[in-house]
Amino acid sequence: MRNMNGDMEGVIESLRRLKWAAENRVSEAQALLDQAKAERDHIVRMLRVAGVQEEQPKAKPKKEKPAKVNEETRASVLNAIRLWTELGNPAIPGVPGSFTTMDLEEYTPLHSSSIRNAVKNLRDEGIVRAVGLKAGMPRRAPMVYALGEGNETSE
Amino acid sequence: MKRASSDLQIRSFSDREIISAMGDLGGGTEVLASDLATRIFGLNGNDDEKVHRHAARCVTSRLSWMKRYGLVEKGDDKGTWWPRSGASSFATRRSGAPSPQRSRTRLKVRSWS
Repeated sequence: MRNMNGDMEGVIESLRRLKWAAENRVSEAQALLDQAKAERDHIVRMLRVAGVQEEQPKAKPKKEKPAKVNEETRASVLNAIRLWTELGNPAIPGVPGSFTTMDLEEYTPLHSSSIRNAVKNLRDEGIVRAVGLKAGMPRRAPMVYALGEGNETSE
Repeated sequence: MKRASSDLQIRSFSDREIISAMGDLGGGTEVLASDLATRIFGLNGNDDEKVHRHAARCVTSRLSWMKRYGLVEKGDDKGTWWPRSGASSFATRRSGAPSPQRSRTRLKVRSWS
């Protein structure tokens, strides 16, 4: 029993030495890291004084999540598109049934942002296609859409 | 004159939409890349000549890629393009039509080595 206790003490002592050595290595590495950081900061400060602008890392663009559109909104927008198409007043001459989201606002009680989201989803589904920007608009030109062939509203 | 909607890029349009726009302009016949650019980017007479040229170059570059995939062909006259016959059915396909977002996604190939 005494012999066993002696072995255990020896093991514990050697583990303590190993721990002490590891702690020493950590503190040495930390000192080196601190020194390297201090050198880097000093160089950055010198560059700043010399008038050199460092490039900031570009922010990653956020991934656009598809907005959820319920069935009622979708149906209302499709109905508005149908009404607009029947009117025969295309947003772009030569493209029958072409419309902007602003054109649909008169034919549906929905908010303009809901209409935009619904049209975006319909575009992703391939029911609506983008034709191009409306020419001759004084400010930001709106996107013009048109129904694809074999569309839902004609069924 | 700088366009207010200068953030619009040709990649916002899917191949299907570009082929449909070519159909709108030419009805299956040859279309000038500059006319297609005018339609897509909503350009008009007030826009700078530089803007027109840049837009036409963007559209030509895209059409060149679409030619590699067999969707369009170059016309006989300079700057003219026409959609291939198979491409129009791709353009009018309803179900599973590629969205602009999906068509831009790169395929990930898993390596088994």
